[in-house]
Amino acid sequence: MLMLALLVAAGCTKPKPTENNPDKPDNTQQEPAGGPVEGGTLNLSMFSAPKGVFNPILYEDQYDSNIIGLVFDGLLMNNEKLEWICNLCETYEVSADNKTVTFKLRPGLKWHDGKPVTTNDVAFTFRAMLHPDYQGVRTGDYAALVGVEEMLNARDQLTTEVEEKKITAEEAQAKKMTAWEAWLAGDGKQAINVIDDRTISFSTSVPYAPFLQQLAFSIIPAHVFEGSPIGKMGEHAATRTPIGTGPYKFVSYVTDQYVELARNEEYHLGKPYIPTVIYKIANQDVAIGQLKSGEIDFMPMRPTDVELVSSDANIKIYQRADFGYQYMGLNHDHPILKDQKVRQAMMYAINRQAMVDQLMKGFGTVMNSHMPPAIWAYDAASLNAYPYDPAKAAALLAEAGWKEKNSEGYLVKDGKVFEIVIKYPSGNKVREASAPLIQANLKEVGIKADLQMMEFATLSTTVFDERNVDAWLMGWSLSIDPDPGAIFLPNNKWGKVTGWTSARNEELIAQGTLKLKVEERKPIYVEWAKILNEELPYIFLYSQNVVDGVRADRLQGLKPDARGTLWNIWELWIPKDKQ
Amino acid sequence: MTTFVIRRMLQMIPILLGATMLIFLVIKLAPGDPFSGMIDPRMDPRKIEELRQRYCLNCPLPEQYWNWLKLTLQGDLGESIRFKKPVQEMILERLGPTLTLGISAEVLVFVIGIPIGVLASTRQNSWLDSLTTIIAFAGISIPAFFFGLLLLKWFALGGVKLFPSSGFMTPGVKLAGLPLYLDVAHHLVLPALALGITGVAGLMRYVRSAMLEVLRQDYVRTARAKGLAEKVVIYKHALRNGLIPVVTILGLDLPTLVGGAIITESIFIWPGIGRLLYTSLLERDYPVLMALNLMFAFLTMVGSLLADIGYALVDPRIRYD
Repeated sequence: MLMLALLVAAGCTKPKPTENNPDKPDNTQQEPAGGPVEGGTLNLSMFSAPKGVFNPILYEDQYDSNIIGLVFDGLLMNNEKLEWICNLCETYEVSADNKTVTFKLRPGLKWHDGKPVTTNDVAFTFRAMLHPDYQGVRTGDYAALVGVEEMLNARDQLTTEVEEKKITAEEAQAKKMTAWEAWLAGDGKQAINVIDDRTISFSTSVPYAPFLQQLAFSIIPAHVFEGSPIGKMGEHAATRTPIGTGPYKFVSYVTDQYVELARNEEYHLGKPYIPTVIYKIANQDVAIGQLKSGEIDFMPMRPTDVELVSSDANIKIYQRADFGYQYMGLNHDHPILKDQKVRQAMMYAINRQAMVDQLMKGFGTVMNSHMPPAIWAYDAASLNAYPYDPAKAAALLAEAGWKEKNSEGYLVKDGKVFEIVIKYPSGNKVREASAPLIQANLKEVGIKADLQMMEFATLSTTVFDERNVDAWLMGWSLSIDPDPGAIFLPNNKWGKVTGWTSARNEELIAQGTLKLKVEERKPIYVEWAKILNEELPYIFLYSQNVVDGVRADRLQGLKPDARGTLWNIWELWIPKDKQ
Repeated sequence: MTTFVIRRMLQMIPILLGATMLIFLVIKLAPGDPFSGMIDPRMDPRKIEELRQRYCLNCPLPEQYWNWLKLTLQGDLGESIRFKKPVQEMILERLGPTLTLGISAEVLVFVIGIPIGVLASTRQNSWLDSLTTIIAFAGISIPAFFFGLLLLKWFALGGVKLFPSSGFMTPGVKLAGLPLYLDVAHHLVLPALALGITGVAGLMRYVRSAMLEVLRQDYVRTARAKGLAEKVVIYKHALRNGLIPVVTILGLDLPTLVGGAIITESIFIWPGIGRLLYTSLLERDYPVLMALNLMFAFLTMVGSLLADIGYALVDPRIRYD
């Protein structure tokens, strides 16, 4: 009986009601008197173990990127407006024809092992991603460089020939190597041009706006990797124990436990005050308790966790817009969904604002097109907001011929019920919770939506490889540059899935990368976003904000903005009495 | 006995082979492959196709199985597609902590479960018996997840803060020898408790019912009639026979000892094989999955062989030829 009582009591404790609950957390900090001091250990947390592939050109897992971000730097980085400014470079210059970017490296840059950083390292990094033996997935990012698109198309052709058994894999690889050597001796000299050991330039065949973003990639040390075959880079010791130029040096990774990092005393942007960083792997449910007890100083938070820490004065919440959003994809070859009025009706029928308010506790934005709020191309005012309006939805459905309802309350036309199957993946709790809400909203206007949850890889295959789907819930995680070509050009894998085509869509995407200035590109993307807003290849749902919880009594010097909460980690410090 | 053991070990070979074939088929039946989850728009789909070809993921199934078997017979368990690390290394890294947790939990289960089960059987229908029954049912019903979080709430993050809240050892400190063992032991307490709770409850009930059966036997009555002390009757004569179901459990539990703690490992961030199995399953990391399942198949057979040998040791009536 006692045991039962204890169990029941344990389940009944509720978080305390919050008195001080700002819904717009403030982004400034009161610094304790007496400026920065050195010392202490910063305890960060992530909720899944990294794979240990701490190599920027090879990693595939986002948790590896947490460590890579601290150990490596690129030529460029973002300022608070997300514009590109110099990091490893001292200056950079875009040529008048917008096809060449020339970088001059800062003097005196050193790798964590003391060797100097030169343009040889920069050239090596990008050439490695284009090499025929390269085992990573980033080659496509550099297709704009002179001569690369042709070389990649030739490789595709060879891959197909191997599959059709016309040539062997070895023959294909030999041909790829020959083409590679030819490119290095020819176009490659122009594409990646090492002028001297501090100056390097990159050239594209046509002006390509996302180029600066691709060139901001983290640089790896040539002197470490040069001797070994590119195809075996994954097995190289330096992939596990990386050497970079970043604010923190890699010390060790205790498998599935934590990564230990030590400060880079010669960091070019300033010597970090905190000597040690322990990046712990934590359980998301336990981490809140650990943040409260001070065992960790930082954790990414779920919107529902915020109220659990809001009464604690020592914990501050920082939120920012995310570079991504969630949507319901639609198969436009489906007889019912191919009608634009039907899709528009669905946008009016689904209460997306309620999802933001209830599921995300307000930490998010309703999406009405592809550009997420964090990107400069975002222009909500120009779009139809499709506010929640079941009556309007019903009217649109009626215009599309869906007027009669059967005995269960579902719409029928020509003897067929309006029924679709929505498939969605497990793993994202907010998305999982949104599925039944969508089903209920659609039922209200007479649409029968059957839900099928499945594990992520299964859903991904079903949708993107087999196209065996009516509607599906998914999200995109995007980059700073708004170019949507990778997703919405209809000949590539992601674009093919919906079956939606629009000549104007393709025209605008092509135009958008030809100009380099933001003022010239923005109108193109605004017009493009309007097309999507009207034709609705997807039902756009919401963008959840990134929310971080930080121990404000320990971490000082924070300047959170669009770049993140800890982007200036080398400037952070811990007061003496808290070390 | 020796011929029996040798015969069983020889039988293991074709069974293992068949098991791996079946496992391979079932794993491949799941839709997707290691690259299906890569729907990041910045990842080049052409490159992913190239990688699929490199790993022979579109090759006919018998060819893929044979490639794996060839390497395995030479002792090479292959390389993880997602971790890009030799599978053998990955398993060995995690084996130490896994076995530490598994064996500790098992020891706890026996050390607590057997005496209490015996006690409950000798005092059948007393208040002690009722209490242990309630505890047993509570223990079996509590989800390991919930119990783990409760333990953390009472003993690590709040309440009496006696134990660390996660991990296998204290981060950032380099210890060796006795201080290292003590540190690990300190971290081991809560996870072992969480993992053991269901086992204790189950074993308690098994031992109790087995003992109740045994205590009714004639030979027990004879032993008592001979004037032997009750303790001797129970622990020397009855328990040996009451332990037969325990031997079954111990033997068949062998693979669970290694791979069954995935929830406990998740909550306490224990670097074990359970987590590895779960992640590999979701990510379709075939080399890791095949190696782990081969290991579990092998352990299941070894466990069952050990249980059979155990029977012979515990019960002199059982003889193999």
